[in-house]
Amino acid sequence: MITFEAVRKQFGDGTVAVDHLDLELPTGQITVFVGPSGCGKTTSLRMINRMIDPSAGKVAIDGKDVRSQDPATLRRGIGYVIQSGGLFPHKTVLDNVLTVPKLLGRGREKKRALELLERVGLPTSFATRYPAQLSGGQRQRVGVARALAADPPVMLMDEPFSAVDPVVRGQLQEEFLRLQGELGKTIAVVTHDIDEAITLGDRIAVFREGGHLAQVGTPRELLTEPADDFVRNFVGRDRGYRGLSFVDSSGLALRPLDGTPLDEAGRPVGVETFRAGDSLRLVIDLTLTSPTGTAVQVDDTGRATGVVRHGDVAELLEKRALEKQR
Amino acid sequence: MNGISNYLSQNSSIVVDALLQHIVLAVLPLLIGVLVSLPIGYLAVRFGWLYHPILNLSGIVYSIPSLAVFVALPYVLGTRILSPVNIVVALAIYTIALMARTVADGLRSVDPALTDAATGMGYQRVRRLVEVELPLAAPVILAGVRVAAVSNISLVSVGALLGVGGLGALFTRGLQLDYTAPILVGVVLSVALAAVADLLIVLFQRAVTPWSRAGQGV
Repeated sequence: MITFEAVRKQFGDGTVAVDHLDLELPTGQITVFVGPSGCGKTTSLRMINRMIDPSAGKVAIDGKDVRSQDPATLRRGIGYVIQSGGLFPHKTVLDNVLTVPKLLGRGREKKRALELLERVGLPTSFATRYPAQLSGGQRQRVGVARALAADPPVMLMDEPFSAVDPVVRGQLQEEFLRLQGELGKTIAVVTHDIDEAITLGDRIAVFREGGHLAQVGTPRELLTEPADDFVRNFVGRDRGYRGLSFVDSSGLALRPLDGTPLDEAGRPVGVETFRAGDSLRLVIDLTLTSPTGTAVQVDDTGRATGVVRHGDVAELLEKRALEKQR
Repeated sequence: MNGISNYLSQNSSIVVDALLQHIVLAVLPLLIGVLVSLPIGYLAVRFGWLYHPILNLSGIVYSIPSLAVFVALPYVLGTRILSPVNIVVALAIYTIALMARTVADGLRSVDPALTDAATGMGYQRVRRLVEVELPLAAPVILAGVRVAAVSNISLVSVGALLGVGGLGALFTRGLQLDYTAPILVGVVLSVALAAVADLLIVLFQRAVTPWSRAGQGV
């Protein structure tokens, strides 16, 4: 667990970047620092690996004050990913990945580095390439592999997926979450993008100007119970709709399949489908984009089990709202 | 043409000696100058307030006529006026004047995001300089070395006016004897030497910066 206790950072010119920050980053979870520029989120992140030292207060990893440790030693134990990957252009992909192992005197771990490349979705044949020979998304993947190379328990990521186009960003986020599901690192991510925060975060810390925390909570809490107008505005106007990402669709009354084209195995043809347990946001989106206004549910084998219409989703939500009031 | 081949066949050892001496007198100060420039250029970047003073000082030093330096140095160093040490020291000073700025500019050209990434991964200052900053500054620094090498090779000839050897000695001899063959040989070898030195540095640069050509045509 990473803890901030009454942390303050005032720069030489008098600017207060972070003011009385108390925050806990739970072990094995992704905590996202989000907020407008100048809110102190990057400063806070950089105080974890001592790229910046606080003016007052304490930052600790598992109870140990980071300032009691030599900065370089501390940093070699913390994965670090920056925007665009921050790869060294004069080193091959393999040497980039081996950066920290080499600093630790373990530069021979070539096999592990190659495994890591595969793990982040790159062919091992990329090992001998230079960063200039990769696309933006591929560089970002190498950046993640590099941060993981020495198997640090903690990772810091500063705008890790900002420099790529939205499609690639979505892919990278999804794969990153899959990877984190296997690795269970304690991760701090900085982003200015609330959607990215909601996608990646187990917990989200919303910062406001002047380095104050506006709210800390799960994505769902942020969307359904914003603490104040600042968070409400920052989260955005369609937070009600986005909040449905966290509401599961079980309990929807299914209608019969009539008219839905099926193949011999009973699988629907030419339409996108959902499964019991997918989010209501997905179901609504399917009904809105389908020409017939219906979303088709399938079971684990892909066979169609029934359809729902927009009205059915609204009814379910109404029923749940009534139950809540009781 | 006949005159030149006659001259060469009768004076080959003189010409070869002059050429070798020329190479030593140009390359030795180049190496010394580059080695001294590295820390100076680094300090100019590390302590930002030093950058402009160093820039101005090197500009002034470079503008002093070489002949004046050659003549003045024996008084400063206490060497004999004909000592080749004067030439070596003078050219090392010119190399430093040229290279200190180039090294500083090369280091400043390194993307701060990369030095930040290096620090964030646990590089300490010296290792970061050697493994990250200097390799990335190498294209700029080596471009400066090319200029300094060619400049040194041409300045060594001026030393001949003081009676120090090198290919310049062929010019002075030719002028004294009113004999064009040694002058032509000296000019051609001097130009060829500069071209070869430049080529060698370019090849060296290609060998140490393979990454700078990566990504072309991908």
